[in-house]
Amino acid sequence: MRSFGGVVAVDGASVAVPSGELHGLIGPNGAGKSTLFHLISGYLRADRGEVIFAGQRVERLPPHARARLGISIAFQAVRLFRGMTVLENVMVGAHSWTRHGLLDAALRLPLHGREEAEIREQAASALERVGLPHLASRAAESLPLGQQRCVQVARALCGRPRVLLLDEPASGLRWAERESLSALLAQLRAEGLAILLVEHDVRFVTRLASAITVMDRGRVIASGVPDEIRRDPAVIAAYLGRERASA
Amino acid sequence: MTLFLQYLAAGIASGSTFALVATGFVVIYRVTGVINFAQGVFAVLGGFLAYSLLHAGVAHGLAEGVAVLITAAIGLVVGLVALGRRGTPPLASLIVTLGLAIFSYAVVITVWGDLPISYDGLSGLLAIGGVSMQRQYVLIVGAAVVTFLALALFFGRTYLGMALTACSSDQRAARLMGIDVWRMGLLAFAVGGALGGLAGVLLTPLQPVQFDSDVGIAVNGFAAAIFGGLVRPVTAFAGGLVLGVAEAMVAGYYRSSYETAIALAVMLALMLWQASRRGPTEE
Repeated sequence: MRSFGGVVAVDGASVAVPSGELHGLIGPNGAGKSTLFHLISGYLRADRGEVIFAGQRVERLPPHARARLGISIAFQAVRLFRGMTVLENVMVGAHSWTRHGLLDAALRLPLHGREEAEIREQAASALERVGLPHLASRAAESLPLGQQRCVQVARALCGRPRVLLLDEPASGLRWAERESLSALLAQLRAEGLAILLVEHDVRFVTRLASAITVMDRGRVIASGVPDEIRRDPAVIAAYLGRERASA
Repeated sequence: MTLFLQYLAAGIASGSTFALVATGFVVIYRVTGVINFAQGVFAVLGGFLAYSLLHAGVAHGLAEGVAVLITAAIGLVVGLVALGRRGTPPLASLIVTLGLAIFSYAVVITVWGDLPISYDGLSGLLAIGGVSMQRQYVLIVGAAVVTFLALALFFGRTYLGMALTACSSDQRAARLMGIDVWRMGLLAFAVGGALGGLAGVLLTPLQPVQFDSDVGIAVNGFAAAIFGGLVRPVTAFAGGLVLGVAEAMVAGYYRSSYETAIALAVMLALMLWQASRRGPTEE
């Protein structure tokens, strides 16, 4: 549970994502999807409740420690590091698994150099997976927003995640880019990654997800396989219906 | 004209030390969001430590180098105390650095006394293009430029430097990438300590330091850092040089007691001009 000055953003919401599953999280604006994400990543701290990762309770760990366990996130609002190239941005993602600390960097330079080469390689292959290897040396902030989103996904992948939190990764993408992102997500799922995906485009989610949780006003109003969700009257009333009415 | 060039050389030399102090401010501020009021203390301690080492018979060069390493360690300790627990707000840390700066007076007076000290730098004159200048000037400018370039390489090219840059760009996002922002802050304080210490060991032969010299050094360094909005190292470096030259000109052609006041007025005018050019919307 998390509230902001009396406004309860998320309450009693429970989501379980086993590895190898792509779990969709949908709901109208303000439903608490992003807040739930931030509670999992540690960006926000829950007032009450548990976050269990691989059998371990992590809700009291600082965000960098959670990242080291394998929780990676791509933000809804794109947050690439300014003043750095695309490749360097992706390389920063590797901090969650690199062993070297400050002392290592200072004292064990050979190891540091070898690890740095490994990081560079890993970052390059993550860029390849999102289809942007040709932009590696561009300034990150100069890319169009859709491509910045893809760079965020690459940065998250470079962290060798075990669970990947993607907050609307497909928004702002063109059709072809969407298709390749969707193929990448299917492939990552097949590799055994647990993926939690927030997305506005319900069709995009239902095609990929093996399970879907629907939130509205901070609560889970339905969860199940995509076909059930599509027929659920509460969901249609709260979300799908509203969307259809506005469309 | 020769006189002008000599003032210019002296100004660039002292300006280079301001630039080093300013870079220290910028490095620490960018990574931690803390304005480190103890930045001038690093310079004072660097001067005193080098002085003691030289008196103990340690050779020139080595003594200054060791002094800089010790100030880096002192920077680390200041960082540990000021950053405190993870999540301490930068404003609280700022006040802690101010307290530590005042505490340093007691330490310096206890260990070294309250009289100003100095030691010889590089002796002799060097004639460049008909202008003779102290070798120490050349040493200072060279050391500052080399240090600045090394820092640029460190921040731009190494993996650790990238992590620091990431922290300064977006701390919270950096944290979610697995970067321990708190430890990066300590590293920034250590770098800031080394930069301040370097400025101190270079400056002491030119102008004696005493326990409270940190105020003048910090004010000049801070003014230069502010010139670059506290975040742009190149502009801060340039700001340090402008200040140094302005002070040398005031001291040379007018009165040295007005040098800091007039130089800071020049700085303010430059910043107002800069702000009016940029318009009110940016920053």
